[in-house]
Amino acid sequence: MNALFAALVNLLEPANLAVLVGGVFLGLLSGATPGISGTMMVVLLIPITYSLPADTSFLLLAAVYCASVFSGSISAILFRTPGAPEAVATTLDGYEMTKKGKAAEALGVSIFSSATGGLIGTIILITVAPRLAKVALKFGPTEYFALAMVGLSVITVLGASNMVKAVISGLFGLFLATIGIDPTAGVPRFTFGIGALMSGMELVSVLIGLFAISEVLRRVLEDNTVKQQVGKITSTLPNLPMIKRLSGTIFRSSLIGTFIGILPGIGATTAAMVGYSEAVRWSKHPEKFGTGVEEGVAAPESSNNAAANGAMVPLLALGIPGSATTAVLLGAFILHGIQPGPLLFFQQPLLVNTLFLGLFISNFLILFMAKPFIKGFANIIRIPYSILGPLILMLCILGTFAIRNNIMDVWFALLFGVIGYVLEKYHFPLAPIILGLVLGGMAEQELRRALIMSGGKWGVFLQSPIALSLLIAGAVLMFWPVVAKLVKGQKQKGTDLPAQ
Amino acid sequence: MVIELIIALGILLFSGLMFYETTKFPPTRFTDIGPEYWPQIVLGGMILFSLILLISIFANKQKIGEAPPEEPKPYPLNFWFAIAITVFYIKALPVVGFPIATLLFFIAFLWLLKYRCIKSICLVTVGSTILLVMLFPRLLSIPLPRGTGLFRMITLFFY
Repeated sequence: MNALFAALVNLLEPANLAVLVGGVFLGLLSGATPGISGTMMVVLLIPITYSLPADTSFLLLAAVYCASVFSGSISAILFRTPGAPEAVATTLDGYEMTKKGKAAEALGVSIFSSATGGLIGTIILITVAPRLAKVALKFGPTEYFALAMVGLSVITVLGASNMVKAVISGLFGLFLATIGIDPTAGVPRFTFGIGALMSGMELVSVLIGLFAISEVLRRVLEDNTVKQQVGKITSTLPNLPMIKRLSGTIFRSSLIGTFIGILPGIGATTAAMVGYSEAVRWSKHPEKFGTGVEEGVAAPESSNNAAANGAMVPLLALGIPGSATTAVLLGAFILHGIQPGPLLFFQQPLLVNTLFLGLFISNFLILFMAKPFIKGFANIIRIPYSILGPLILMLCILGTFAIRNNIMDVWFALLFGVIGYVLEKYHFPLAPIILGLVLGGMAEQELRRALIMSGGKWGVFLQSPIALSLLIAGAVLMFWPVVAKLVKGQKQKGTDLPAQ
Repeated sequence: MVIELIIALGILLFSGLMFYETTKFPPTRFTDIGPEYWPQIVLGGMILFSLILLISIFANKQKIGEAPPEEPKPYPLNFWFAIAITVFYIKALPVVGFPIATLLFFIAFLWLLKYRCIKSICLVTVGSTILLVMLFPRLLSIPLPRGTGLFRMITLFFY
């Protein structure tokens, strides 16, 4: 309780409050503008946070993350263009409401459901994460290696459309993590005499290259001179009878979303889809979904925001990211010299509690800031990409340079921008590279420690019940998409046969 | 399909070369689990999966042939021009300094993206450069390159 009070005092510092408001604004902006994702904004802000204290930095990044998940719905509702993948399900009924002339109501329902879903997710995060961390305190090298494997098992989920390519991406990330001086033996690996590589591949260069520069390179091929025609945009928060009508949907979807968010790799996009389909299943009028009903906006929006907060549970308690953005956040923690995981709760209680309260307040801020933001959004979206593109690229270059004041990092960022562009063009998912890069160090060090302690016997992983359970869980998570694909294929064959 | 094949072969070649590189790591004295242990597992996996990818490309040859062609992009050469502008910018930074290089970068990039309103180009270019100078070297004290000779003197006027 004392830690929470101290965190509250910390959070009420004017600088932290200003950062929180700024973070929510930037999150709203990045999520709502197609072409700039919440992940990209977090990546671009990481170098700027170097000069800030750790708690202030993570307040900023968490607020951006939180708000961007909501604001993807704004362009989804207005233009049928989800600003973020999490808002795909919102287009189904949100855009139909716009077509009916109820855009203001749809936006209002989205704001209210997102904030409520986010708040429920945060409350569950505050209660579950410390308990999970206490369990994780008993972990040794075998358990940590098994945990890293659980984190890496997400790779097949992130690249479900082509698992071979997803695994190659993940392995490439693991390879990147081995570059530099080996911390156990002190031997340089894959440095080829380049001084900048001695301390390893700079995470920010890879992040900025893969996620931001590659996107700019993709967008320059398009016609960016077309201006978006936007009229006046407003939003109307739901009234009391409407809130009463939507409360069941919002509560159920928030619980579903938080649970899905906690599971590594499933993510807010799936949570939104499951939240939507469950709303259809429980509805008395399922036939109305897809025609522009408020429940069709409330369900995915509360679900995806709850999932975004739920994804912070494995990140903070176990140090394993559950999604692309939380993988980036994990990288940000490491860059600030902080290792998320069970010890974080005991070594940095102020930081953890400030982050908890920051997420809680961010959701309230969404409720208050979304309305004026939507009003001004019409002006923001008129800025053509031909101006935004070079600005983003410039921020990428400066952000990479700012890490170590080394021009070599900028060259690496550009190289990874090209690699990211090519890989994405040929359907290699990028998020597994980051997962591999972030978790690779932990996986290797713990594996070597465990094997050295056991005299090189791999059987050590079967002797620990926790490690064994985690490895089984990892295997289930890893092969689940494969099994699901096979089952789906068999079912499809079964339904095709009679027709033939 | 040809490019997919080149990429798969490229990954295979890269993984093979890096695997060979691991054999040059010096051995450790106390244990068999040396610095090459984990990279060899990872690169072995990359070799295996790039082979699977190659096989799947050949197996799906028919399917790929049937796939509809990708919609052509309006400005396919812009990719190379954007990279060229960025490379020139990074190269020019230590010589002409941040403010001048950035001004030129913005003008070139806006022109590349078919932005033709001279008044707006001037406004965006000067405005963005001033904003970035205020944020990075002045507020965050990041020592951005000042350039050499006359350019350095000009940059010193800003930070």
